[in-house]
Amino acid sequence: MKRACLYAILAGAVTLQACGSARRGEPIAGPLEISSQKAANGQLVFMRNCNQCHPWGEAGVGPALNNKPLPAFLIKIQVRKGIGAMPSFPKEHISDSDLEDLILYIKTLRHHGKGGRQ
Amino acid sequence: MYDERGSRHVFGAGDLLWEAAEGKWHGWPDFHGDTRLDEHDHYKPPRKEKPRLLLAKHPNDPPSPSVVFPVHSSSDGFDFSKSSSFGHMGEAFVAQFGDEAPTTGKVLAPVGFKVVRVDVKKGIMYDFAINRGKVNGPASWLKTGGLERPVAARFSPDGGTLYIVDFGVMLHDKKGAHPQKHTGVLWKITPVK
Repeated sequence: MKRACLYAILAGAVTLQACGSARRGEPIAGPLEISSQKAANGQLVFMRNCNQCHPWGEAGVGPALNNKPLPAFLIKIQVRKGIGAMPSFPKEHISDSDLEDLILYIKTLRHHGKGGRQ
Repeated sequence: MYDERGSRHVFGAGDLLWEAAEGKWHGWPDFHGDTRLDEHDHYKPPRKEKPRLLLAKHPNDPPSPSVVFPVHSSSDGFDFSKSSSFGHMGEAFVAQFGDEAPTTGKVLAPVGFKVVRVDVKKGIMYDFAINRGKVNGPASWLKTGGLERPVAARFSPDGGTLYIVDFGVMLHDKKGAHPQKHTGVLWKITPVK
């Protein structure tokens, strides 16, 4: 029952209404300013683990991340448990510290050049 | 490298850019980069078993790739910038032909159809040349002008110009690929003075 509730929350979260364009790439939204070492580490974690299915937080094999207001605790659950086609990333693959940095980077990317230069 | 066709389906394994390590085994057919294909559920196709390893013994732990490209991006011809007049010296410029869905698998949005630059020292890639619009995609799909299927990127001998070979329109359906005649072009990219 607990697991069913968790998946229901996650399924609802990933289908949250998209808000605007997810495009955050440099030619569209300008250079991304990384302001802290933690966010810079988060970018590396993203490149190694997330970018292949969510290129720069846009949709690809997986859904877009940049235009959905998914809160940090749901991102953590989704990363740890996986959902649908998305695999799980246990602590030995992404440490708790790296996961915190990853979330910081995702938030930075989400707010970068919102809407983009179309 | 791997995908969801043939006798052993592997899900979610993007193309890799390596700095080749002489004399080292780089992981094929049991690793994707430095990650085993049977690690957790990382490469398990939906509703199927995770891929099994094929080799009884691995010669060494594979080195880490410089970068992992987006799944189905078909990251192809590349060159390194060697000129300060163009900028981004030492970075790789990679042409991404773009996905061939549904022939090679499913995507939720077009993947590739652009040129990316890769900071190989940091392991970070950036979009470099890409079509405008609310979403990315080939020009024929966006119904605009612009990039279709970049297949190679090469710098001029003086390093000041980047040339992109664009294969042109290649449509896909369940029967396979349908290249369209007389749609290929060569793009020339120079820095704005």
